[in-house]
Amino acid sequence: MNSRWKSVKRGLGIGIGLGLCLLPLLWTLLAALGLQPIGVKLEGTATLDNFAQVTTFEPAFLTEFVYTLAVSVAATLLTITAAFPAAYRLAHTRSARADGLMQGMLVLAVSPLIAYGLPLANVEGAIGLRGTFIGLVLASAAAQLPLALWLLRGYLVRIPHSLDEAAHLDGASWLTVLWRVVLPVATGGVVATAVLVFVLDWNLYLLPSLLTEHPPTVLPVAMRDFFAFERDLEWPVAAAALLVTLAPAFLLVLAAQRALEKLVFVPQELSG
Amino acid sequence: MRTVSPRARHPDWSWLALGPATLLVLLFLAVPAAVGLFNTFTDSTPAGGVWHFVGLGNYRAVLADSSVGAAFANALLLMLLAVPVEVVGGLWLAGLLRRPFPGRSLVRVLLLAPWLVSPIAAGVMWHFLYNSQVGLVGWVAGWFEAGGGSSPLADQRWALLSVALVEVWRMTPLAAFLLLPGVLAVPQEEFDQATVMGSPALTTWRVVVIPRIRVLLLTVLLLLVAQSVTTFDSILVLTGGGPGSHTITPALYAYSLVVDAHNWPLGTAASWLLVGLVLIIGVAYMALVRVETT
Repeated sequence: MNSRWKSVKRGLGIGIGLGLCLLPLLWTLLAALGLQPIGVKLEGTATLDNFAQVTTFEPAFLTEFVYTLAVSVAATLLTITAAFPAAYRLAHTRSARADGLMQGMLVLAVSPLIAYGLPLANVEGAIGLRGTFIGLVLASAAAQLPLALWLLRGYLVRIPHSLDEAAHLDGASWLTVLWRVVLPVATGGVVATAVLVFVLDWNLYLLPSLLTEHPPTVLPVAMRDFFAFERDLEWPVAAAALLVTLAPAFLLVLAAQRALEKLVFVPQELSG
Repeated sequence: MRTVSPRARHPDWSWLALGPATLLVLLFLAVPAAVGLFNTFTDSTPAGGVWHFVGLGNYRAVLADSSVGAAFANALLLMLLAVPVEVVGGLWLAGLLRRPFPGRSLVRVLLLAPWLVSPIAAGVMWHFLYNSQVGLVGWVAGWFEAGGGSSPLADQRWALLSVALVEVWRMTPLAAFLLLPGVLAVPQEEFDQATVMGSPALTTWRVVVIPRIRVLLLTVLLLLVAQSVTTFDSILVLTGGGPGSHTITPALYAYSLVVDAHNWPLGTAASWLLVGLVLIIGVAYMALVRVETT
């Protein structure tokens, strides 16, 4: 009886916790569908009109959506491609200095972008990258690299060293070992890291706002500009736009469920 | 037995693996950061032209501005309001998900949803949720027939708390998501033992779980503390720092100097003061981790 009470209590807790997290989003979904809760009743009739209205309010919405997606995918691939070999190399160095370097990376990852955003725009201006797709991709990729390095190394230190050592002894080149031996066993960690990096890139505001000179721009910048300069924005349409911009990140996280469960935020060697 | 090390046969080129990452960070992060730091000691502008060294002049000018004091005070207050709730809430949620149940992995990723909303979008969303006409807050107030009234964001007594609540909503589930693997790694027997000995749930957590996840907890704490003192995007949309300077943060202050007032030297100096604060937090984190692991 005691244990049944406990599981009822746990179920209730999960319901409350999930409810607190999701209620604001549920409210947004209802508004986007044209429904407004008054007391215990829902007023209005469900419609998808508000989703269609998004492009009336922001004609460039679809272009911006595709542009943001392209920037985020390219930046994520670049971050992972650069971080993976480095993380593998650093996973082999298990010294206090390497650990210190990684913790430094984490501190770098949580540092404010505003400290270098504007000089970065100038540096990119000097080499002709400012306002270009490539310039934004490189800047975003560099901004997420410290976190990616931290996550990937934390994952790779758990893979037994003997595995790739054996391949090395068989005469395989370093790159072959990385590609053929290490990557296949580390896929989960790479996918989980890539998903988190993609979400951060997809939601990035400050760097694109400083590095974009002409349209198209990314969704967070467009959304902020719209909100700041056109105050007549209606909630149901804003709600629809919010949900559309949330969709790619949400679908990706749902698809990568299994990999995300295996995400290691702190390597085991540090947690024991 | 290994007799010939592969490194003895081939020269070790493996450090080249660090090349792409180093290059990317150097060019698009470290060099601009160094330029930015250097500029805080000069009166240069993005337009170029003649510039002079001004020593600590920019920092003195920034510190003389009363808004800066308000901004750092707000950042610390935001941290004190948000981080304890995020940590306790994160541990609570992680604890609920410790035992398997059908649909647990779905619940686990659904919890990430608030963090998936971009800070800008979260700002727009909560702007409306705090609205008394169409918002969640108005709906709840309706239950108590307390309706009407303006958004708490416009009220100087409630503005910072309202901003902190948005932070808590965004970061608590992420904290739970990051803490859960650590909590799951605690063997069930240790929980059972504590239960047999009749210790209450809170004691079990303090004695059994926390000691095992100390480093993970410290790392999540670093993330949450840094996130709270550098909060920027969501406040930019929610209040723009207002009413007055009741919700201005250091990052927002630096941004408005740089972007709105085109005062590059002062804005960059203000942002480097914030970097200083984050570095202090970072050094404290590294020192604490060293104590825990040796």
